[in-house]
Amino acid sequence: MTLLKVNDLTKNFGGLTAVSNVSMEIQEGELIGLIGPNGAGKTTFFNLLTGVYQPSEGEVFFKVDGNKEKIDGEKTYNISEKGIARTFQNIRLFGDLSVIDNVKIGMHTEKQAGLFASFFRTPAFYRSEEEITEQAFHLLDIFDLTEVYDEKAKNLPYGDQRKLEIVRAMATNPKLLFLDEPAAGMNPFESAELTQLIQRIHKEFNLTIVLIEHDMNVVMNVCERIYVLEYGRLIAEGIPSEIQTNDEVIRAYLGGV
Amino acid sequence: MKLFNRTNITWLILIILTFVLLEIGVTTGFTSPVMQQTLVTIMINIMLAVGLNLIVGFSGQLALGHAGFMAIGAYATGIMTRQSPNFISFILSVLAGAVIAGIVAFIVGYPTLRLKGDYLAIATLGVAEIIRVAILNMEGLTNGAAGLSGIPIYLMNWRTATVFTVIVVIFVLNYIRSSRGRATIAVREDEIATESLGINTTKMKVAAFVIGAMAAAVAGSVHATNLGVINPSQFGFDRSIDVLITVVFGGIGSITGSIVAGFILGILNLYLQQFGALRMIIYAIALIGIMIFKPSGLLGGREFSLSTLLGREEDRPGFIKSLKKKD
Amino acid sequence: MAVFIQQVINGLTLGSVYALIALGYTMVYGIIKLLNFAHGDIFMVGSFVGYYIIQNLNLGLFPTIILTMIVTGVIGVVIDQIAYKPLRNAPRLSVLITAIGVSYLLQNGMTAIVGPETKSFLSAFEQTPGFVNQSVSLGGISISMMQIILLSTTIILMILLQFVVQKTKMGKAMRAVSIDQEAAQLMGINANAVIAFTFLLGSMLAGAGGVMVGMYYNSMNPLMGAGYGTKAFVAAVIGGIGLIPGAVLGGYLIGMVEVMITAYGNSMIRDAVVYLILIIILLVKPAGLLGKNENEKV
Repeated sequence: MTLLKVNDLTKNFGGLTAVSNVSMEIQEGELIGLIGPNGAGKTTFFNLLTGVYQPSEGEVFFKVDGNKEKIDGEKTYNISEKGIARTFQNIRLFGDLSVIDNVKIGMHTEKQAGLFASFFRTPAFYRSEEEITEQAFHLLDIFDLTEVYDEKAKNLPYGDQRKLEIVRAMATNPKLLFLDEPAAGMNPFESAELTQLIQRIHKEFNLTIVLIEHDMNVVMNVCERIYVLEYGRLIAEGIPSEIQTNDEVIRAYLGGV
Repeated sequence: MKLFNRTNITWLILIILTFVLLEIGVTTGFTSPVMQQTLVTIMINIMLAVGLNLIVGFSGQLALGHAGFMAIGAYATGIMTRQSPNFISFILSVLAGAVIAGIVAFIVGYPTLRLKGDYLAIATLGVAEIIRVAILNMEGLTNGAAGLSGIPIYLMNWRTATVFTVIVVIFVLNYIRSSRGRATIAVREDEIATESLGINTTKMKVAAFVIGAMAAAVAGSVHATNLGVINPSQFGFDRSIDVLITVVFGGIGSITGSIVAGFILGILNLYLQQFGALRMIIYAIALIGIMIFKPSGLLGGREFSLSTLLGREEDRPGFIKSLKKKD
Repeated sequence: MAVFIQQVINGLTLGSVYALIALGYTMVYGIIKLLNFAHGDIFMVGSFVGYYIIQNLNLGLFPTIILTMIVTGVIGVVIDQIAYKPLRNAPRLSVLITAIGVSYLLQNGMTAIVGPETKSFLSAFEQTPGFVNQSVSLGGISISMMQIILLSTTIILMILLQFVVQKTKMGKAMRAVSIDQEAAQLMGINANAVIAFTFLLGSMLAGAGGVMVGMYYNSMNPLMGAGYGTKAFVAAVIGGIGLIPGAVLGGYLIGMVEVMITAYGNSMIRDAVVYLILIIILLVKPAGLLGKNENEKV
């Protein structure tokens, strides 16, 4: 079943074409890698799909409740509600808030007490808050962040901040998750651990994941299929072993030979 | 009912105890009429500051027209209680003022809060001025520049003012400590990240703005029945700035701070009266000094928490048993 | 028709004043994103400084303007160094409150020194200079000498400012700091000096405006800065805050609107109309008439 379909997506910034005629089709349950040299337009591509930027041309379709819906040009929060979550390359946690509150905010659209219940603290409010806490702890547990639930997010070590961003995105209960360089700045041990976690949530939550990553160990180990961008254009697509031997890809990474 | 937990009951007892003490003070003559009057003024300032703090400190949007919303409440009460001077009409006027202020805030907030940056600040500055000019020109209803006098002051005393303040503070706090409150703070921290979590940031900002404006209107109603005389010049830019100063002085994003600052500045103002013309100069220098040496205000973003003091973590909403075992 | 042209000239005169003050707002906002509420009060200080220079030193109008500009310029820099510089990394709201504190201090300090009452500016002269009452008549339209002086001085100052910002090294540094302060510092630009220089320029323009307004309207008081300042600020926002041409455009627009409403409408609603225009422009074009909407980088 096709979950996400992108047709000829293009984004111009003034005279610069950051993403040019990119098309792709992602099936439900896939774990996809999106790679390419710096400045290839990977993050811009995520920003287009999540509504942070408006595409100049092209269409994006996403399967919502079994129906194909056109989501390009939609507001970010609408796209998120339809089931697409993301993390950010330059971590964007709510730094002054506690770890657990970061996760709870991710759950806001899924579960919240009504306005009246909140103002008057009815039993329904307390119930809903307990459910939110429980669910948040369940997610933190998976990523081994339970111990630090009360810390301010900005005080976490770098690797934990990256993990917390994933937890927060998971809290929105997505069908499709975009991870923007989740292993950036991690040591080999941490990134190996992260690789396992990504595989685990992929299976456990039956989650479709698209991953931007520079760490080729991570990409080649976990991704089932890989797309390669260069100068905003899609230059290759295939399974890891194909990509590793693709001439275009080697040229893009090593420079014109 | 989780609402009746030990922390909340302790709060209730503390509030009643304060009331009883004040009441004893009043009957024994210890709490002078001037002190009672100061208390009402402080309560008005606290309601204004708590409402503005929700907007500025929690949703992170700068608003400079709080006095305009206060004026709406004051005139609603002034007009209605002069028609029928009784307590029921006063209560109705408080509600009417709050609703009108809320509607105006929505009309202003919805288009401007879609934008990022200081635009709300500038727009609210303009709206407060438009409200003032509108009041000046609606002579039949508001008596123009001369204002309304003879508003029944016997409808207001320190007890009523305190009850209103307690209600306003509780409502604002309950809002902040709900799922919507968390989402509001998230907007302040990072708008793009908040949107990526499915939260309509404009909606959260508008909601905070509307609630803050309604709190200001309630303060305006209390102000009108406290003074008995209102006119447009009471609700100028200076008034809005006074409220903002209270918020920043107490600590942006701290309701406790707004309350403490309301008391400190209220008492400070009382004592500075004797300095006459020098008063504002001292006030200005104090303000600059405090900002230079403590830019985050008295309390920063911290809050006083009775449940922490009592060691009753389990009284907080959202507490689950597995939390307690860990410590 | 003659009346209308007369009003246009009045509008241009008032607009010049707003533009002069708006430039200071816009430059400071452009460089440190501060809504400098004390700026209007610098303008007021300029009026009084000019008054006392004339009274005590007996100088002519132009030397007075230049001397006043130097004095207000220095005051602007001193305020920045004492009150704003310690807060460069503080939350923006704290700096805003500090600016309000400075504004209160200037207003009340001046009141303490000169008293709260409105003064006649021309009373500073032993003998009222001849040009004050002169005017030029052109086919039924009369332009007073003061208007000509005000308009031409403003235009000369704006051209000079444009030259400083576009052609000098300091101007280039200003533009660099306004785009990215950190990057500019890495390139060896002393951001603090640039910010101080911005305050110098803005306060000088305000000082010049203060003298000319005092003279043109022949009235001044310690609270006059708030009124002119707020309007000038609105002008800066309408034109596009942070943009020098925007401040000029906004200033002339507001001046013209105010004069026309007073002449042909109801002066009671003048301020409300100005703010209504402000709100409409914010809704239609939030970055101001000359501004460009920018996307945040994610």
